[in-house]
Amino acid sequence: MKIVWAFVVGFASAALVLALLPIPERARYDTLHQDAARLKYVYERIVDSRTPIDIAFVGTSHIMNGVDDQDIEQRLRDRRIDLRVANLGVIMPGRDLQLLMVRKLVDKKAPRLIVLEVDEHEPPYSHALAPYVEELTDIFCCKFFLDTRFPASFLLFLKRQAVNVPLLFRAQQAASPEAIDDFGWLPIEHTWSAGNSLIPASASPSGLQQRLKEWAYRKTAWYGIDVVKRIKNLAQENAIDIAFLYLPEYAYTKRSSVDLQYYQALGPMIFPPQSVVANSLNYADGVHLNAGGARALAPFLADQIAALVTTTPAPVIPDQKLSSEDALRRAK
Amino acid sequence: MSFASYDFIFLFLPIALIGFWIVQRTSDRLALWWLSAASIVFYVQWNPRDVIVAGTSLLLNFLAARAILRDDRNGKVILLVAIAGNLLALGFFKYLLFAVDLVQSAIGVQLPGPPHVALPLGISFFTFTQIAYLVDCYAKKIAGRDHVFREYLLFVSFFPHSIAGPILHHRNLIPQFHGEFRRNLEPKLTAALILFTIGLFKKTVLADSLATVADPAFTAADGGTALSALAAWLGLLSYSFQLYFDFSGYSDMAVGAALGVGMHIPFNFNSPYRADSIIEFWRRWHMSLSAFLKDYLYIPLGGNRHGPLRRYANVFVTMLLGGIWHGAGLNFVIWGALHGAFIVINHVWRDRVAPRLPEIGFPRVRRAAGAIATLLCVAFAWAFFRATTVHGATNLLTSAVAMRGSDLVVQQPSLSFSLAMLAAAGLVTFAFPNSLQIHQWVIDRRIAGWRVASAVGLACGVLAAVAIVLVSRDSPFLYFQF
Repeated sequence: MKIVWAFVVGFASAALVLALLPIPERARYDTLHQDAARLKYVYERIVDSRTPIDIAFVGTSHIMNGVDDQDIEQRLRDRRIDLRVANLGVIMPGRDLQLLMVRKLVDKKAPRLIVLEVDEHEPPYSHALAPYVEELTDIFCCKFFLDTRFPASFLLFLKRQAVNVPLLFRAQQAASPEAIDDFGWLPIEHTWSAGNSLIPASASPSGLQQRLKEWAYRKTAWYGIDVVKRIKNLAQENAIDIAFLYLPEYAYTKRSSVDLQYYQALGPMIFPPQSVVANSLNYADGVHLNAGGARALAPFLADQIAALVTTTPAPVIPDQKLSSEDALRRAK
Repeated sequence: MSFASYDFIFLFLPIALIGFWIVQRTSDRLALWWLSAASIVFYVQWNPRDVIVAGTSLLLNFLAARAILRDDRNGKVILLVAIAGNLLALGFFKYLLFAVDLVQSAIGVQLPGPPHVALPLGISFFTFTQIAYLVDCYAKKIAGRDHVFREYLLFVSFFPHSIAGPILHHRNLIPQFHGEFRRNLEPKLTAALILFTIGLFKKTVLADSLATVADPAFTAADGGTALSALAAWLGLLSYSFQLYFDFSGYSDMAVGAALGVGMHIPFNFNSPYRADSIIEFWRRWHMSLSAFLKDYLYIPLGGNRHGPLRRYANVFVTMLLGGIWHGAGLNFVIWGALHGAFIVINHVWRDRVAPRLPEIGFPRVRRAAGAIATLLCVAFAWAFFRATTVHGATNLLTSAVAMRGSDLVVQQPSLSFSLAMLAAAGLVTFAFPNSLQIHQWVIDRRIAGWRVASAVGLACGVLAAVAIVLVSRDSPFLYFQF
């Protein structure tokens, strides 16, 4: 037993030392490559770019591919609303990374409005890229015990610390502000090969299967919902408005039972028009809007943002369960 | 689910071990069934289809062994048929495509392609294990009453050795099934913890880091790129150490996992790179395979009983077949032939040349020179073992000796990292006690005092933390492919 206790102490000590290694923040983002380099761009856009951010779109690749920030900014300018719009979408779901980005936003840019993406359900896990860039305190910031990916994320965080030890001794250099693109929209030009503008019957689960799926979504959503509330509270404490943009997967676009009341209780919702999201020609695949879809959506988003930044949004009754059609009617 | 995976370390192994120690309180039989079930789960999760081949092989070999034990008159015929069946199955799954390729090249005619069948995991290992069992049945080393399905199933499928060895004899394992595993438990569990940790560290920290130096060099060489001499040597030496730490790390973890249920399985390595001759190298490298080849191939071929020339031929054939056992391809044939030639040269030198040379003294210097020469020969042959083509191997070896300029770039990690990893590998290989020695210390209770146990436990804890953190999802053990 002596050796077992010593083993446990040695193991815990080594893990603690690894966890506490002060790997520089910028160096952590510099290690991101290929698709993950998008997160590095978002970091540099927030931290290094001199261009302000007034309207920040925060979310997953749904935002990254589906929100033409430059077009929205131009349309706002056409209405004499001079606001800088930034698409800060990062591939893959996971709210903890979005909270991290919002913290940076609050610290560096003080935006006027944050538009946070929502879809049919909250991911029950943390972001796959978060362990590469988070601090130890970020990992334990939220209700980590509800994060289904926590053990793997924590081990990945420790691995990042171990692998990046040489970065402790390397000088860090900020990105040149001139080299950072102001706009983060990444358009996808091709069209989904679904072949027609109707929802395939197979893509729309029905009856018991659908109810079971959504029951499971609700029962595993605690982690994500907790982090969304933290994002909302952080924004509120810093006098930043927050709105929720529903960017659905294609199969959900003609459904009316999507449960979004959590978000409706937290702030105004933006439901894209059916003419855009229920048309498969606007999708690059079953999940992401293509360039045409993003261009078709931009005028609507510009209208919504103009309304949100120029008027006080209508109060939303927390218990009311809105369907996308209801919300669309309200938006009209 | 490799040994070096979170699923194995945090899920499978704890459940298998804790379940075993709970169940064994009820009965030994139940405990053996539990281990068999765990072993089958471990095997099935790799590829459920493989269990059909492995299960059929196990069942047929069990029946063949029973028939050999019961039928004295036809025992030899049954044995030969069973061995032929095993080798045919191995040949079908492992060598058919290679054989067709060879025939096509020889006759210059395109033959209808044989069906592409996936190689069942561990087939080389469980086939050899079972052939050895059949031979031992025929040689009456196993009594009929000891041939019990429950024990045979666990002997063949026992998860610490089923995928990549060591190749076991029944006498290595089956006698421990009858309560032996409970004896001397504390040192066994201590050794289990230490060996599993050392093995994991060898794999995830040393082997996987060395792979980042070796892989780009071999990929470039296979692609026809001419490397600088430095890049080629870094690649060659890094692979030599990578393979050693990968396979010996696996073997340490296998021994550790088996000790976790109180059972000893044999060590497969005994510091082979410290060997001062190629003959000695093969006594220390993959020892269970060397023993198998010696007992079931070299000696039946005649061994050293028919004069030196026949002896050299037997050695060469044994090593050639040992090379082919590792894989279907010309590279493995060349690798086996090289080692056969090295051993023959070593025998000729030792028996014919060395006795006629004047005694020059300096035994340490001679041993060191022998060790360096051995390491160079082994590393030279590893080029064929690792490269995917013969051209890739010759390209790398040519680059290593051609002293070409450093403008021939390969995407290897930084030179300082590569050299640091090689230095660390050399230090662990040549300066540290090996797993076999550490195991002996534990068994001799030299790691029992409060201070020593605490120091060793602390060190193992630190090694385990680093090793677990560096576990990689995309790094299977190299010997799993054989």
